[in-house]
Amino acid sequence: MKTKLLTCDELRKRVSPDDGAADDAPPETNVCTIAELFDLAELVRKGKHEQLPREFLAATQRLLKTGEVCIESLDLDRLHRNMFDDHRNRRPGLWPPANDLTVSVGKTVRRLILRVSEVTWWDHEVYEEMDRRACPQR
Amino acid sequence: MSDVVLDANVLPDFLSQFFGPAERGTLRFSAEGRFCEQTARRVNRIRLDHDGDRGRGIVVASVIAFVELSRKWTNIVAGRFEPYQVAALLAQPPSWFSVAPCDEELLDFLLDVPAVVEVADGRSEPIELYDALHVATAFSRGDHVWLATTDSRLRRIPRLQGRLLGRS
Repeated sequence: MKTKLLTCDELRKRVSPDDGAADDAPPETNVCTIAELFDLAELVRKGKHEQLPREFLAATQRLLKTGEVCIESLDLDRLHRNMFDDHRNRRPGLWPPANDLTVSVGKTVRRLILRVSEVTWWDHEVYEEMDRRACPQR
Repeated sequence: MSDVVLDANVLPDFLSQFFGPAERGTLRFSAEGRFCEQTARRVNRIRLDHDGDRGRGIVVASVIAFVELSRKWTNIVAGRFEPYQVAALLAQPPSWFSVAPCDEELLDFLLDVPAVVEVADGRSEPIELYDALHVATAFSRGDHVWLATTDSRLRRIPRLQGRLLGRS
């Protein structure tokens, strides 16, 4: 089954089903990072989204329960695994894509979440697609 | 004992103490840069309570504070500690220190962070997402949490009044 990396807009359509999520789309595993969910929440927080906070939270909970989308987050283990370069036989340095001020914080967060390793279930294409995409300048 | 949440702008000076004079928390922390005396006192209290097995509060930093650290390493760390030391801390943090995740559990708290705050002259300034996440982390720790921050906008958030450490 193909893995599809959702954009913030595609996630929005799933959180607001009235916007017409593609029910007849071919089977695929949908993945996005917590940064997409936070970007969406940011629209709600700033009153730029059609849903009120309570509605948005309820809709998000419903979406998470369906398992329709895997939302990958950033926790201590993932941070520890991905913030540093491959350090076999020497002291670790910073992983260069995480030490890059030319991109937004949101992009760095996405890189740290989607960095491919022996424990990730998605492949390099997902990471590369994320890295090609424009990202809100926050 | 209440938790102390360290904002991204306080974490580097905390780590400088941790890897330097405080010797990974075996000795006392003292004020350094944006890690003020008041914060040092609360961190020392938490650390001592854990030593005495009375551990209740913990010192917390969001994963986002470490993301910021990684991004601006050269400018803000300035040779005071090395990446391998941070890697070792993340591999085995002391019992009194925790790195808070960014996951869907934080969503509810994020939506409670005001979009704007009133600053001097009655002007409003926005609180952007990756600053708001530190506040959401603080909100997630309960009503008695302390937030150590020097960010003047975060310091204007009404719900944090009386719960702030440091100054702008």
